[in-house]
Amino acid sequence: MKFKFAWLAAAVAAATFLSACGGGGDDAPPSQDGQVLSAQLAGSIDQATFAASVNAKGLTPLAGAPKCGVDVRYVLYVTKDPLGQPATASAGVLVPNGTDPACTGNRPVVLYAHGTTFTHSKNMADLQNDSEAGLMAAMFVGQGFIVVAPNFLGYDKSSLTYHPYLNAESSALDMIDGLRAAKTHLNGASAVRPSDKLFVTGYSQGGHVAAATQKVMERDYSAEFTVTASGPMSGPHNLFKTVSVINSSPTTCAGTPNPNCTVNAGGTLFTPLLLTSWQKSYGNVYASPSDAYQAPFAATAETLFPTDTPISDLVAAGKLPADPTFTKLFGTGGLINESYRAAFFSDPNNGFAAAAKKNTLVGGWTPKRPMALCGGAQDPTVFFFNTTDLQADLNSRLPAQLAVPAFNMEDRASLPAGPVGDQLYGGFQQQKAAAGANATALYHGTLVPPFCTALVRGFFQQVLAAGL
Amino acid sequence: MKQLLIAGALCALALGAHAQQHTVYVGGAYIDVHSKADPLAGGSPLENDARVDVNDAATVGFGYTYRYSDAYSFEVALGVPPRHHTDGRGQLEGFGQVASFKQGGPTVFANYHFGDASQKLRPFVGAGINYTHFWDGHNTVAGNWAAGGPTTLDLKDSWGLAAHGGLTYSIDKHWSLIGTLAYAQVKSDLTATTTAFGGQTIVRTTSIDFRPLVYTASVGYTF
Repeated sequence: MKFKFAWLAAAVAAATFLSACGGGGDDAPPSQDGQVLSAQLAGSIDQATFAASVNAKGLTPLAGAPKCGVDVRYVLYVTKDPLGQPATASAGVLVPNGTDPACTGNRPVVLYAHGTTFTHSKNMADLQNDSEAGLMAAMFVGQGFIVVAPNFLGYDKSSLTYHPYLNAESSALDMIDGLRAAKTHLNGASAVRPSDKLFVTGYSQGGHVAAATQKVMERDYSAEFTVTASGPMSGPHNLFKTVSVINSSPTTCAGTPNPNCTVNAGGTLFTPLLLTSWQKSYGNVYASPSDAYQAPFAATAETLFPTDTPISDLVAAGKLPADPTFTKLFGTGGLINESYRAAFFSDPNNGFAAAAKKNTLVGGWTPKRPMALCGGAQDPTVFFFNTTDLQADLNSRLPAQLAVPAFNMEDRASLPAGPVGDQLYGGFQQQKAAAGANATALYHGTLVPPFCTALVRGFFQQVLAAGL
Repeated sequence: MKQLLIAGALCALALGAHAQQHTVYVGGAYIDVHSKADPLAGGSPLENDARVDVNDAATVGFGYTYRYSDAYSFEVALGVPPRHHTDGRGQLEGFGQVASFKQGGPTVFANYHFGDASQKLRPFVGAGINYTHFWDGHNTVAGNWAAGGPTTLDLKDSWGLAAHGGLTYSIDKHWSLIGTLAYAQVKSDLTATTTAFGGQTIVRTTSIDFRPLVYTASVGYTF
């Protein structure tokens, strides 16, 4: 009988083994950082059509006539959210096409971080509708660079329900994973592939992200990536000082009719994006949204952005202060509670202040590869001290041959000598004058970007030519 | 209903003799799924060729056979419900495993046994009815990524014809070894309901033909 039961025991054991090894069971873990989830060639523009498009936008004098057309690729990839949990994000990957030798083979890569947007459907692969993508294509792809432009966590088809805005470490990782995914995709699907030259740039928020990306790449990923050069543009690098200046507005402006006289243009839009990001990342920016926001804004501010609802509709719905300058942060009818503002300065354990310090890129690191900064001294949105403070800090440690230039569109002497510098300075001043009363409103988002991008591209081309 | 009638007729055929025996058996079952599914239909962001593929699973199989005569038997085949992983295909290929679900597929067979009682090794064939119930279906993290948000899954139950064939090896008058290969018609409609950005509800559907081949190896005890 013992023998017979042995048959039964063997059968059950075999069945159990079969169950264990034959599938089923726990779910497979999500894919690894930088892994491509899906990728596609979304469209293609030949050189002649692209050249006509660049010309129609009036970009040819700055960007030059394109030598290449553009293959528009789109990649959805895995990265991590600020809490270290896997999440997805997407990127536009703009690749040169055409027969010119500048458009074939292995091309240098520009890893580009876009500026602040409140639009959830932001997509740098939407070349037809996204003017920022169009500018990058004209400036870089037409001249033979591959542009990898992550849309960032929280946008487009990202799985994250908020955006880790101005979270330096998280944003850098998103950029790195986007680059990994783009390289994987291109090496498998494209005849034009990345060379070993890697340039990192970005504008506004993206300037901060670009600097953070270089910092994190050189600190943690030097075996995988070598930054050839970087060009952060108009970024809020000195974030603690920026937030301090804004939060001190009622004090600074005491005795004037406007308690928001030092609030940056767009402050009521940037603030919800920022507070939600840091609250989700660190958990100590407020205990409840009503700690930070005045009624009725507290009810919806935390989930306001990113959104595809027009901002005018949000204002009309009473979800943002009705203020065309978007600076009404403090005071009666403003976005932020006075007690919350005051605690930024008075509470030594203030979470908002700690987050601002944590994400400040001035101090504590030094780039190992060439960097050039750019901005405009009259910027009402990202104050120019951000650029000069970072420059001064880095140059206090860098050797002379790696000294960081800071191109200032208001200062001819800060720009490269010669006709190119003359053309860029003159062109900018001319466009600013032409904008007239709108110059302040257009300064950060429209007037400065093409000129700074042209300067940064020139810097990158110099680095390439010098073989640095 | 047609399947039930056929099953009834087969059972009646099987019960038309005598020499009654009861056998219980237990062993391993490997469910070799050859699923075919239409592309998911119903909503962005999965516009093009988003398909799923159901993986194999192994489990403990057991059952009961009532042998009414030397040649005919009636059988209920059961198993510990296995969990099947489901992988993305086409546009979903890169997401890897996108979902999983459990299924229980009890099947009744009417069997005909070749040879006679003096033979230790006897082949048999059978036909019957399979009912498969699906439950505990859920998307993986990657599945929710692919769908665009948290997603619930619903798989409709399936009725279908089944057939199997196999060998019984009698060790003695009580103990035997049994090996079978079975096939069943298992089809289900999958509905995936996603809560996407901004609270938008996206409902996607597909029809899955599982086409399972089931291999079993068991030990039986007859009394």
